[in-house]
Amino acid sequence: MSSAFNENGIFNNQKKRLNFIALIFSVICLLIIARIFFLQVINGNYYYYLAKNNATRIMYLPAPRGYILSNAGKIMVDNESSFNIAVTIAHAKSLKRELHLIASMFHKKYSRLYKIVKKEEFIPDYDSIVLIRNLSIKNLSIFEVNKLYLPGFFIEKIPIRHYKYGDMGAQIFGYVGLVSSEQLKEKKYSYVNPSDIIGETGLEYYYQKYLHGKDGEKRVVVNSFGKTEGKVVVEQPKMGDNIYTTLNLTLEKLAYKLMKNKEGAVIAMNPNNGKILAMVSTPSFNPVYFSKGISTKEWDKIINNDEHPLQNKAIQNSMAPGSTFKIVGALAGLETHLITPDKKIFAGPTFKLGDAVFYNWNPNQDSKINLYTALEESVDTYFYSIAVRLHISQIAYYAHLLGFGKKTGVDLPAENPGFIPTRKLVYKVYHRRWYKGSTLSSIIGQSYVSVTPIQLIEAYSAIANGGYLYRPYIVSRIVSSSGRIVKQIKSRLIRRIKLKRSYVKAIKKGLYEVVNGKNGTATNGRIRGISFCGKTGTAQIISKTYSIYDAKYIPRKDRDNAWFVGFAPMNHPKIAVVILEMHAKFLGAHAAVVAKKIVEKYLEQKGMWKPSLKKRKNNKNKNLPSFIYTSF
Amino acid sequence: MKLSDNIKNFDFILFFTVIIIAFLGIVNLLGSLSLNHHELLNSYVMKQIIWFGISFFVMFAIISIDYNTLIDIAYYIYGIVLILIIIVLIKGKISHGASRWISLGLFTIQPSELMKIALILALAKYFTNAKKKYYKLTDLMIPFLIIIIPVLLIAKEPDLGTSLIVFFVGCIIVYLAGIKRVSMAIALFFVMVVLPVIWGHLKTYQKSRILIFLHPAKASLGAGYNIIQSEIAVGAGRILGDGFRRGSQSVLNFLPAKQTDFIFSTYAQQFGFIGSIILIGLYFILIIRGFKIVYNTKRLPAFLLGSGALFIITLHTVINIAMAIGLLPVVGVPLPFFSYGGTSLIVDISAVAILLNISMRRYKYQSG
Repeated sequence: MSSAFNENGIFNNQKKRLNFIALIFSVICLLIIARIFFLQVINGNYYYYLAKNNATRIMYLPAPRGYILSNAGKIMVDNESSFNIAVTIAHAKSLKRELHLIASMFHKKYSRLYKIVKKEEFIPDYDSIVLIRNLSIKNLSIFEVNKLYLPGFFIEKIPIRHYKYGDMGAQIFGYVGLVSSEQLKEKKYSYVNPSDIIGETGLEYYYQKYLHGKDGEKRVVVNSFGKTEGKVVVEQPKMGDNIYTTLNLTLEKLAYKLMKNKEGAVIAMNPNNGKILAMVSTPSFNPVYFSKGISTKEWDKIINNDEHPLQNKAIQNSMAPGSTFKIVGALAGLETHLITPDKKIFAGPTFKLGDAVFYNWNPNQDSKINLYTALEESVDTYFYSIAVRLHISQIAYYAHLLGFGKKTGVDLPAENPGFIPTRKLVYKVYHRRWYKGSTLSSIIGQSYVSVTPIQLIEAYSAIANGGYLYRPYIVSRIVSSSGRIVKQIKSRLIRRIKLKRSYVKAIKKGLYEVVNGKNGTATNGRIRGISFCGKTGTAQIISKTYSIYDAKYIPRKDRDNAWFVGFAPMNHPKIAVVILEMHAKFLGAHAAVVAKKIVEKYLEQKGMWKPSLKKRKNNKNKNLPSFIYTSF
Repeated sequence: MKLSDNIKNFDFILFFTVIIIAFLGIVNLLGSLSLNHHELLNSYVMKQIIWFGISFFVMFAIISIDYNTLIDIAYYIYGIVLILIIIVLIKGKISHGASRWISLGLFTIQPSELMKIALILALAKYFTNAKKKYYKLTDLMIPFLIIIIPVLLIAKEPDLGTSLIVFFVGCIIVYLAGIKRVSMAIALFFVMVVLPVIWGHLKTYQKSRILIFLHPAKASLGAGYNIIQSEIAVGAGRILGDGFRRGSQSVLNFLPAKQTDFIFSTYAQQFGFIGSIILIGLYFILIIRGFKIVYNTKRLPAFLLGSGALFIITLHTVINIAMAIGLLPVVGVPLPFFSYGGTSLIVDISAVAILLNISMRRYKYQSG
């Protein structure tokens, strides 16, 4: 067969065109291989991760939080179970019928239950919806009995925080809450999963890392419709570590009882190592509201309370220390040789500085007195005559030595550093010039001077133990749920203050006279047979002056703050206490009574003190044989 | 010419390459099944095996008829397929928003797919009869109609993928047949002018597919989801692959059209870069053999028909893979011998059969 098509001229041209197309396809082929190489070899791991992510759903099983215990191992904060009724829609038989049943069993509105379910209509089959929260035990048993009629419905057990002593110590323990989306972004919460509970304040916050535990995981492989494929892999959660505090439960309870209807704070501490024995801030609140989901009403009540229940006044509230600050003045006077303990100085009812007149709190003061009397009777004019010859930076120096003006470093969040004025600092912070008169006010703990209760107890402990400034602390060890010691916390000496022994002795003697002297300001704090030392303080919180100060006629908010800080016994102190009563009806002397009761209780515990015979007779404890008492 | 000569000239390499690819295709289809699909007989795999049986029957039927005879009856075949397309358009079965199928009881066929073969036969016949060295635009009115009528009808179904393949294959044959360069330039210019008009007539989903191809990340949950899931599947295979039936993207149905348009992604996740290269290598052997057959033929009808068959397979392969890896927008084009689907399998097998047919009879006309 021969035809025109066999002519080579035509055919060569057409084959050239075929070659050209082949070339184009070769290039495309190379592009394809390059692209596959890019996807699978260069970026393979990235896409592998994306594919696994596509297919795996992870549900977190929250770990139970660790407990918070007293120094003797008594549980103060643990977890209890909250029971919810939940439903897995995919497993329900006739959802509407069962919802009606649930509604009638627990007296709920069907329409409300239906709405909850309807909202989650497209929930995947491995996930469930919570219908009713915080089921009572009675309702729990009702559900269990009727379980057969409710396929797909089940009881979901959720650990919630339980505060065994309610309001007591609420600010110290702190409260927990659902982690927020902002917190989730923070690096320190990298181990926290959405819908986890975390500590928001107090120890719950400070030791969150330990208390939290390790969340478990439920891994499910799902297809693109959200249906479960294959096995569910469960990794059980690991409970958080238990926190052993230094708190003495008996003292804590007593302190809270004594302060319950007042606004203020109490700290009891071992002055020889900084262990906090009790810490109370009042008024308080019940942190359980936060773990069960606080209602707006409760929240408003707490937030709008002008006595700030959420605030831990023991460490966060910084205010004028009043006369309790006089140990700084005494120390400064002694160290700068302006005074000696025994040298008598004239102290009148007023002190004149130029045109200004500074008053003594007791207008009847008019004699030469030594340091002991000055402390015993808290004579302001004695200290004015020291202050007038000192520079404010000298007072600040000794205040700083005793730990004022700086956070103590206690293991609780949001501690207030207080404020110790110097010329520079006052100008920087308040944009005000320094007047000599402010130096005089400063030495009696007024003007710009501001301290927290915990700073006061830290400083008085240092005086009590002869110059060792310890960091106060509240957690002594952290133990894992299996009993392994995770962390042992030892007391930390901040500094050894080099004080002349005779000076320390003199100040301590003065503090002894405050409680035990004839004219002491805290004589109602006396403890039989115990050398209880301390100092009262009254801090004016307003500049307004009432012609006659009588708390009964003054609005609560304008009343002075009352302080008492002390330790016992004088020579080998076992306990230090600070009491702050804000806007108190009675002043420092009354605070001393609170302190006395705490000290008595502690020393009784230590076997160093026994209640008086008279008191013991009133004791209704009939279990003990009476001959024990008669031996005293 | 004796039968024994035909067997002697049979291209066994081409044939067995197809067999190997088909075998891999069945394995891959098995690997694509969801984990809870245990009813194997009802599955795609059994149907596809039956389709292979049918298509090999078709293949031997085509091989046994001289390709010249096929070209002789080309217009009738073309006419019948065109009528079938019109029937589909008029009362097609609605499926996936498209009317493409004619039901034949147990199976359905897609006339638009068959048009690919009908078209190359018809064009081969036209240019064989025209006997010109070069063609001006005015000479090309009839081939233009032969191409454009089915292209428009198929696009109307709507089946953009098939329509484009028919169009490209037609153009390639016209180009190879000898269109003048000037005429080609004019035609290209005309296409440029018409493109915006075509864009205006596209369905919304077709437009969005093209737009998404340009910005896939913008619509990861919308239509761009397809491209992204496909790329994830391919990439996740890494070098060695996740293993047979371990391609999570297809097993867990994240990959849409995992047995048809995105069958390559299903394969790539299971068998990795090594597997992908092996598969592409097999297609490369197939196409090179086809190219050799076409290149060596001494007759224009064989050359044009063979080229048409070759480019049906080539375009299918290249467009399907390029689409799966995000190099081209998503259009419904099957991967030859791999994608699930009877009609497309028959079309690709027919194309191979045409190449084998030409190869077998290459000496018949040389000596004659």
